[in-house]
Amino acid sequence: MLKPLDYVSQIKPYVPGKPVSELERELGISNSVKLASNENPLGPSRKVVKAIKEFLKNPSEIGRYPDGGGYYLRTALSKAISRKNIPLTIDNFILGNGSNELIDIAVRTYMTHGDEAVMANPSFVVYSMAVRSVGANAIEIPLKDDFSHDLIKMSKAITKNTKMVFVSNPNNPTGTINKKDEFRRFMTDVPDDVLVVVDEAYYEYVTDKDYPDTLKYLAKGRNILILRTFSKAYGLAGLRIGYGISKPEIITEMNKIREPFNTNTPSQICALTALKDKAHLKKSIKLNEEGKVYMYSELDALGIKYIPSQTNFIYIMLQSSSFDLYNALLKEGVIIRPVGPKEIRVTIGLKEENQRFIDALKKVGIK
Amino acid sequence: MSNYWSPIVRTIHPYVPGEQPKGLDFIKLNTNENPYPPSPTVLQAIKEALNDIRKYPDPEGYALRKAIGEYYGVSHNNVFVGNGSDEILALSFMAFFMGGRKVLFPDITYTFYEVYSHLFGVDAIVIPLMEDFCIDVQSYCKNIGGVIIANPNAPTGILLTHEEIERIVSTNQDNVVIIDEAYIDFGGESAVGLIDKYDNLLVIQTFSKSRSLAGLRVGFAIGDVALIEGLMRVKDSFNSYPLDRLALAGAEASIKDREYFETTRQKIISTRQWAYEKLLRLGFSVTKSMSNFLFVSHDALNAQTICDALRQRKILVRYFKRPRIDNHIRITVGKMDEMEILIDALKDILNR
Ligand SMILES: Cc1ncc(COP(=O)(O)O)c(C=O)c1O
Ligand SMILES: Cc1ncc(COP(=O)(O)O)c(C=O)c1O
Repeated sequence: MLKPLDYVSQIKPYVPGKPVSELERELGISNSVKLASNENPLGPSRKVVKAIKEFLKNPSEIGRYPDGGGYYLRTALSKAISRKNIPLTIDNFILGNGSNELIDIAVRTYMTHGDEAVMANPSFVVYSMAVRSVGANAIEIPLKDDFSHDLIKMSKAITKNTKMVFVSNPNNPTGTINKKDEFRRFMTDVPDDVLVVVDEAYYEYVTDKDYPDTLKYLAKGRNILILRTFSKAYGLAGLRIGYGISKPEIITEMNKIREPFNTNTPSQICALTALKDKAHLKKSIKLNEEGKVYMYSELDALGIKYIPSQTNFIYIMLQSSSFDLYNALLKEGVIIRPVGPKEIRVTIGLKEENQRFIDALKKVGIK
Repeated sequence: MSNYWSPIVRTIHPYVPGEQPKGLDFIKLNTNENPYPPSPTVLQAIKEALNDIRKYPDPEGYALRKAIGEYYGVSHNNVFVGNGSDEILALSFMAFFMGGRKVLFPDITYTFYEVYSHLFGVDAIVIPLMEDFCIDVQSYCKNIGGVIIANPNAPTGILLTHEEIERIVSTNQDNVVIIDEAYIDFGGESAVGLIDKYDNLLVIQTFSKSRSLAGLRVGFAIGDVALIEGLMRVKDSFNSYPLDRLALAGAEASIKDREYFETTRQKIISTRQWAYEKLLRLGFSVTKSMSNFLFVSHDALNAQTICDALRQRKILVRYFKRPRIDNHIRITVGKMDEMEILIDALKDILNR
């Protein structure tokens, strides 16, 4: 009898959300708004679309394998991110099929059966999935009362088996950050043979002045891997491209696990173009800030509790079932994400999308 | 820090891709890419998909799987899609071989099988090709571990018959047999027709070769639903969205345009035939390749020398410094005019 490996049997099959078109058909609605996946409602810079159209003018290029080293994009990233006191080179960067893939690559580079990784709960689910998929243990430390990582308890949870610590900063799904001072102390407490993976997927949206400057720890030679993505503020979720910043030694090892052609040619071109359009990034961030202000004031007026966010989504705490609200909003054509029994996560959309959400909330009348 | 690297990472020999020189004046016959552009419908589909790139792609790749299923007359539930067939091979190692099973493959074949067995800690039973570079079919019929066979094989281009494939699949009931058909469209018959009969058969193909989409990274696997679900589970345990919107849309348009596909693959087959005969006449030994490359050697000049001499003439071919084949070169079949330049260059190099 043909049997899948034990760990495969134990993986819970993924239940994907239905495509919007399918939901609309079932419910007999149209024009629904999806505020569930933290995508940029403005989309990418228009220059991105132009760059791809330009690329398509020489169609034979699609028949060529991509530049597996991502030379131009990594060079551009190193120039864009370097600072006077923190010089970075192409060797500090690795590209991933979304930053998601880099989480997996990091885990498979450093972890195996019986190892441990410390992370927060709730946090981005991929950390624990990736860790378990190599037969290692995910040690999950509950968030503090303010919904940010409990960095003190996390550093205390490190044992001799710990290979990695994940810090989602800002945290998905709560939108909170851990600040400079506590992060500095955390870095003092974490032994140097543990890799600190700081997932900064929402980095560009952060406005808090006390957000830690993680590059400084890299400059000091610490074993830190910083992950960022083009999926959020740059509006390229549909293209699957993200990057990691670390020491050349760490990047070199991760590159051995990376498939040589993990990012395709269009995604490299788009990311490179998006990176250069600073005006569009600014515009995206401004829209997000305005959306936040609107959502906060409406939620306050409705007496609904939420956590102020450093990202492009808001974590909302209800007094009743989040799944009931999810279903009720769906009928109004508004798709959000239940992230706990009484908690939902709502992406900040365009002005009219945010209004649709608030109007629907008022209509369905759930607190 | 290096003390903490897993033992596997420390000993890995990373795959070294063929050279991609900057500048346009090289004739690239070294990476088995297709010299023809993809179908015009692909370009149109990519342009349309640009409208939605702010949104995550469909994690299931449903539309593409359905289109591939229609092409092969199977359900989308028998189809898995991945970020190149390289990714599907990696996921297959994790789903079917990791954790104590063995895997059999030839000594001379696509180097990734060895890279992955090392990476995933799977014991490899490496079976030498026979003297004439043919696969020793009998050695794979022992039901002692998983099997991976590239058909046609790389870099030899030699094809196993349908009967030989069926013999391997049918004698390995307890193991997954992977037939990597990266080059099957250049003259072979796919084993997809056998999946109804054998639930241990996984056929892997790619859009990188016969469909000119290497830059998009799309591969697919066809097999029994249980195998496909195994791959899905592993994929979803760490990266739900490996295929981006442009790749999904481009590949879907490509598989739907049968006419264009037929035309370009026939062109490559006939150019291969032409070059095959010319090379024989120049005194080369040439394997009977059924792929988009030719695998050759010459008694008068060693392969490395030929390779360097071609490079000076701005023609790139592939040389593998590996035991048994270090006096061979692999030449990708390009356009007719490129192959004419190649043959002239070889004449010159050989003083003929
Ligand atoms: C915290 C965090 N990290 C990583 C990702 C993955 O992003 P991507 O793979 O699109 O780069 C996400 C996406 O939702 C996220 O929220
Ligand atoms: C036999 C074989 N399998 C798989 C591949 C990988 O193809 P893909 O581009 O789909 O990753 C190649 C590429 O050269 C190959 O030769």
